[in-house]
Amino acid sequence: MDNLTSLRFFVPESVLTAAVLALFIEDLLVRRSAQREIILTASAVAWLALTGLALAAMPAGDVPLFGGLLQQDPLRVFFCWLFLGAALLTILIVPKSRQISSARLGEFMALLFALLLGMFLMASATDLLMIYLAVETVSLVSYVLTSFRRADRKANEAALKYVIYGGVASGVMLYGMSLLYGLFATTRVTGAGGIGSQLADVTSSLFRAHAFGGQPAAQLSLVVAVVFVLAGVGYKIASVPFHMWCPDVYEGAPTPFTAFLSVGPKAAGFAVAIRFFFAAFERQVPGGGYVAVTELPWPAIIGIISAITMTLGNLTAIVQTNLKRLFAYSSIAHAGYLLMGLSAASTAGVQAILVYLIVYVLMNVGAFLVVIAVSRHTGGEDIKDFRGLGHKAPIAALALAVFLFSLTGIPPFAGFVGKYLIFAAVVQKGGFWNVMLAVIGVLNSAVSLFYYARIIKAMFLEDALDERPISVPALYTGVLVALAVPVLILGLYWTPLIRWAAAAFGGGNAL
Amino acid sequence: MSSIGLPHFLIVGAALFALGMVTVVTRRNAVGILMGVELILNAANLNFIAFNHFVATPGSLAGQVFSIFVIVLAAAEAAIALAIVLAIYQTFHTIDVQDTDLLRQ
Amino acid sequence: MATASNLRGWLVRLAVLALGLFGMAGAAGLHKFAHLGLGLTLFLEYLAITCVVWGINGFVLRTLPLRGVLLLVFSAAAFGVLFLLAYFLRSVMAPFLFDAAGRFIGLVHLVDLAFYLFAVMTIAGAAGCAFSRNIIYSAWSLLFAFMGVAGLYVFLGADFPAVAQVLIYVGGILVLILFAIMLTKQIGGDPKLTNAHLALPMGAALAAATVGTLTYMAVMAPWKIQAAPSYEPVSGALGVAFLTDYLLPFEVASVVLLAALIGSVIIARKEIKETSDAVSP
Repeated sequence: MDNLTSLRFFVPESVLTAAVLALFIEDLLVRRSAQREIILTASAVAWLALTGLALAAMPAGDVPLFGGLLQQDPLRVFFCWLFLGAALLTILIVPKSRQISSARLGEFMALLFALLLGMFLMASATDLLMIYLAVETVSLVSYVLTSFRRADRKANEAALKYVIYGGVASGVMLYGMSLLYGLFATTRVTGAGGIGSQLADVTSSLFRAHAFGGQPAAQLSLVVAVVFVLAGVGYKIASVPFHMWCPDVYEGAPTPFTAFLSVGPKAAGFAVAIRFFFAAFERQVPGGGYVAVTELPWPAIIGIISAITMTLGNLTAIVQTNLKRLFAYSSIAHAGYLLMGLSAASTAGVQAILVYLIVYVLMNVGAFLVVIAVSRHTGGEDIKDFRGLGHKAPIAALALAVFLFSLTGIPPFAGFVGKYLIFAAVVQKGGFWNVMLAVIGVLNSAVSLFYYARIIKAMFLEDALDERPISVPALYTGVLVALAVPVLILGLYWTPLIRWAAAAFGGGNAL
Repeated sequence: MSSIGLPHFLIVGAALFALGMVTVVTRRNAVGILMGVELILNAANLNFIAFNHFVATPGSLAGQVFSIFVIVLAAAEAAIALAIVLAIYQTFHTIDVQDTDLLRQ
Repeated sequence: MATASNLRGWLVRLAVLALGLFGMAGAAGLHKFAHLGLGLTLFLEYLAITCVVWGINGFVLRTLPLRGVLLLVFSAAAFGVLFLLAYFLRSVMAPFLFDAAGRFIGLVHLVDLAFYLFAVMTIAGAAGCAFSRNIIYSAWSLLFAFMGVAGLYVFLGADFPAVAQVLIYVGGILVLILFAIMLTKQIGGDPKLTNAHLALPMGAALAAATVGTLTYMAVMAPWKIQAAPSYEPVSGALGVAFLTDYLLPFEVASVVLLAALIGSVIIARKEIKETSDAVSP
């Protein structure tokens, strides 16, 4: 589809671009106003609503856009809604968090929209150039937002580590992409003549196993290229061994942005990973299943990375006392669970990932919201600051308990559904190693209960350090309830989740 | 007829990439690390343009276009990264990444 | 002796030496192309050689007790030797030399020689950047690496990327890096402190492994090489591509640049007054 006709499917992104420009200008216009917080928040929410409208009004379909640079399909729409939800929560949280001074709120909002634009592009990019451009957009804006509290030494240090790791990861990814371009003479991933279709053809000769006439050098090149590209994606989703930036950045960044960072770019990274791997290395057979086109054992590679990622994340989380760091390691562990779904390399696996991502946005943003609500009073984010929260702010404490149980994956909560579906998808794939992977996942969930329960114990069973009451703004209470109730309901009635995920990927319900 | 072919350029690219990685891994100065990142980006760009010249179908410019975008984004990234380095220097009075270790468990 | 006058003496000798060398070549050139009389030419050569000998004497032959007339005699003798040498080279050695040079050129191609020049420049620059102990030297080495890469782009028929490389990498990014180095004032003092290394052996092993793997791939992988690579100018075609096939990334890049521009200003500017609502750091 050419540029002009593609615009019909590009309205949400256009609205986001307009929002970036409008918010920068509006920030200047209302600089002197006493009501600037309310005005800016309201207009940001309005722009989000407009984007949502554009997204809802967009015609459905499964067509390549802009000559194959982007792909319009249900998967893209699913991720766009997910990002919109995460952005809405962040925008509601920011003004009252006392982390961003009101003088700089407009810039924060505008940059958040630029970040959102990058994530939207990540969700639909099917060309190496667009993938790189979108990933880089998200990275560059994230560096700025991380160092937003400029006077804060931790923020600066976090931004420095972020930019160094990010620069290296994107450089390595780029090198991998250049090798892919050399092997296939194209940057398109999908479509006729793209990397995917060429691999399906070429597998017969070059990339087949050595014994069947394949070229070892060709195979090696492909493996190196894919591993390098995986480095860039792995950095975005914070999987081992590209997770080192994660705890520092999560601790140093303004907490509302940390909440966004832990769900948004991670989900966007999975969008790219799902698209890239399923387009390039899997071929859909009639009946909805997928078969591998190469003998490259990429599900096994991802499975191993997944096992290491969740184990390392959970074990390191145990010794953390700062809650932001603890959630950073826990988010690394969750990246491991999600990768497990990818390693299943099946429709069921991807649908489980999508379900898990929805639930993860709800519970993780909720957990961070409680951290913000507490730290705006105590100024700290240590576990000791949460002692006696059950008396001081019962609703917040109760909500946090719900989120933590859900993050652990205990039955009546939504987190259980997500985890169960992922484990089921892996086991369904069969084979000793897949079952082992699921067992490792279950063991890790048990380990995670240990540190999540520590927070719950501090909140309800330990006495507070002081008796200063913690007042949670009405807005926060509202958001917390709005997040906790779905976590409870979806834990009991998860059909809508599955239906939505099934519509987004693969068409039929494979779960 | 010149005997210089694709492998020659790829080997230069590989050397650039490896030296960039070494710079990144072994440097302690934040600006030094960023120089290593620039080397890696140059290596990838050289690959893109070499592949465009030798491998791509005649008339196709995908590799060169890619390299232009990389140069543009590298400039943007350098601007942000060096702004962060300056901010770090103003708060920590050093840009040695070993000394900026407030964030440790 | 004071250092300053010592330095001045060196500079004067250097200048005289250079003057002498240019004079020798210039006089020969005048004789050849402007048909200067032989006597005048020889006189000019004599003056030039005297300058050269005096200059050399300053640097190398400082122990020779030559002053005044003796120096002139020595210069005249040197002129005779050089003349004989030149004659010998021209009439006896020249055929051999030209033959050998012709063979050499036939062997390597001037184009190949230029490629290796740029390749060595690139890799040496990168190595200097990686291993130099002074961060300023690292930055200047980076200049050579960037220029070398730009030269390689020209070899690959990529004129526009080559110019963009020089303008943006050398003119923009490198200058930015130098500014960052200057503003962070870590030059001077102990160079170890300014650009120290961690785990250099590990780094070397990493480099060796990476280069080994990638070189194996570069040589052995079955790249589908085109029969006739094109060397047509690409600027026009690139412009068309940016406004047709690649219009979307082109526009997105402009948004990214805007965000990066504002973002780096936000980071680099002074913290504006915190309002009462904000937590003091």
